[in-house]
Amino acid sequence: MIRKTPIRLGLAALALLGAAAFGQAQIERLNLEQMVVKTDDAVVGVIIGSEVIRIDHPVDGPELYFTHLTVEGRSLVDGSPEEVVVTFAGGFVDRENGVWNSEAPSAEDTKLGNEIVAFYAHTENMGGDLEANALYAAHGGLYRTVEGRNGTIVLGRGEGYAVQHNIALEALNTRIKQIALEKK
Amino acid sequence: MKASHLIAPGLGLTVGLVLLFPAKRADAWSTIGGNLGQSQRDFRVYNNFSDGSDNNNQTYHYAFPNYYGAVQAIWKGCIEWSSLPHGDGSGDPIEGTLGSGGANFDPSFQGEANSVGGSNDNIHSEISGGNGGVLAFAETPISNGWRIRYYENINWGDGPLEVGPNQFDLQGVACHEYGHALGLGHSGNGGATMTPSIGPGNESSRSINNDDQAGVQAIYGSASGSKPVITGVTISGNQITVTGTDFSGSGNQIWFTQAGSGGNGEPVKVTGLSSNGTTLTANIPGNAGPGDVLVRKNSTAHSGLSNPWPTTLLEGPDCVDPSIYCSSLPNSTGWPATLSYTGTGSILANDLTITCSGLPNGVAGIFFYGNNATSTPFGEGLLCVQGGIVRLNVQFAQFGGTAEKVVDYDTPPFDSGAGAAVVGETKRFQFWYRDSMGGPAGFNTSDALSVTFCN
Repeated sequence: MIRKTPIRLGLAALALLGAAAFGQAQIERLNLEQMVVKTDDAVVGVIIGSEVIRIDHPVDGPELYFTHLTVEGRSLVDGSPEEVVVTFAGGFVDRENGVWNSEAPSAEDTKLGNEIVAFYAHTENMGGDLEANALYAAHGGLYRTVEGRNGTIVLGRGEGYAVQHNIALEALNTRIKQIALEKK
Repeated sequence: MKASHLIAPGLGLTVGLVLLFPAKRADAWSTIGGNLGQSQRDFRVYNNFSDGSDNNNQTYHYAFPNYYGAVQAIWKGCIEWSSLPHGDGSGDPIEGTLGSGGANFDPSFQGEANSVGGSNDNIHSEISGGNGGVLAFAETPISNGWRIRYYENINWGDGPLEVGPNQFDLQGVACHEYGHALGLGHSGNGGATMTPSIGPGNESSRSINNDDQAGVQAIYGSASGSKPVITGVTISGNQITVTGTDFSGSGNQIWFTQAGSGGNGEPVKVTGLSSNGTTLTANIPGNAGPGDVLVRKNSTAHSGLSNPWPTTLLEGPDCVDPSIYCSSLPNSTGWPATLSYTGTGSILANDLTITCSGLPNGVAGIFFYGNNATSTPFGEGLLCVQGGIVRLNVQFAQFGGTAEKVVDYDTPPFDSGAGAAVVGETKRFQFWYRDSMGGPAGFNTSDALSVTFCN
């Protein structure tokens, strides 16, 4: 059996193309209430930074890749300005080094300059002893926005996702605030 | 993606389209690009699952011999993608037949690994910590292998029955993740194994549905008519005989699961075998162990590899599920008494329980068994067993009209003598009971159960 062949650009591109259409993972089925209850915050903002790191861990194994996204915007819980780094498993350090992770949000969704809503929770160990603000439920915690005639729309992801249907950002914001208040 | 819950791209995302969703099509599967060639069909499990409920299934099943807990659950999850039922298809009491893919795709279980391995070593394992809301993930690209990880902080259940209301089903999630490994993306079909999310206490992902089948068949092709098919395995001494169809005249291989743990995923192989098309015979290699055998005909195509077939590599026939035969006639309740069972005829599993239902409350009766089937009038019912009859203890029907016998192969009369359960032999069970109100004969009988014993 052939093992450990280097990840080639073509394969990486192919994988990213696939990921552009979908995030691939099995995630816990969460509605919006459950998502807000389980997370520390939800931020709406622009992706201003992206970095991929590699960890080789004595217990969890080699080749653990994580992507850090820096999002600048505001909290949907209290409205305060916010710049936060959220993290998910998978990514490519460069053309030769990385892994496509089935849970990662798509490359299309995580482009620099995208405006997104991201749910996150501080996590002591995301694997490999990495402490970070985990993008909650990975691709299930990230939703893109688009500008509509009457304001910003958050794009729903369908059945089983916290934001199932497309919804006006302000309506989503109101609902998140309500749930967060009830949570307290 | 063939259908989506999302707004169709390119239509222009205006407010007016916010609630416009495309109609769902019948097919909702998607692919991630690539496929697993014959050299990547192996999978192993590194059993570092640390939570007790991940690994506490000690129920032996003859279709998954010698492996328990997380390893058995993951084996079952992957084998569901096989082209044909795995052996007789049994092993999952919740979702039915295992082995439902119908594609030119079959996996090769290679036992346990000794480490989590690299990202393309085709190993399932647990990873420490958690990533809130993420249960597990597969690492790809797929053409040169994959790795699947399950988060430690998830409350897993390893079956084989229903998982708890707060547990996630390890077998079902393994089935989902292996679907990614073989090249599938998520499906917009909510009933598919490849649907993106699942809640606790849900075993539905264990069984792939028609959308998943369409997906795997799109990648690998629908199972070819020339694909080799295994229909049985017999062990005699140190020799294995594999029966089936569409084996090559020469150049066949038999692939075995490795014995013990470790290895690099490469199946244990006997190569260069000739066949008449339906039978292959070979000596069993010393490093082969209980697990699956596959036949690779003289072809490297996807369709050149057979379905996996379970074997203990111990002498004797394959296990098959017990079967009900003969008939029963109505008793004084107005209904007939009928047999049912749980468990198997596996001597190693030793898990067979026979129940007679539909009895008049409190009546006395006995289970008895013998060698041959018959169907002749007997009292108010039929005699369905004859030859070498062994009668078991008298018992009285419980409230609700049931009587139960736990068959223990380790105790008399099943452990020795004329009533012994012997691998390869068949015994037939029936229940006889008094029923003075049911007719002039004053007694009646149930239908019967045929059990062929195996390892």
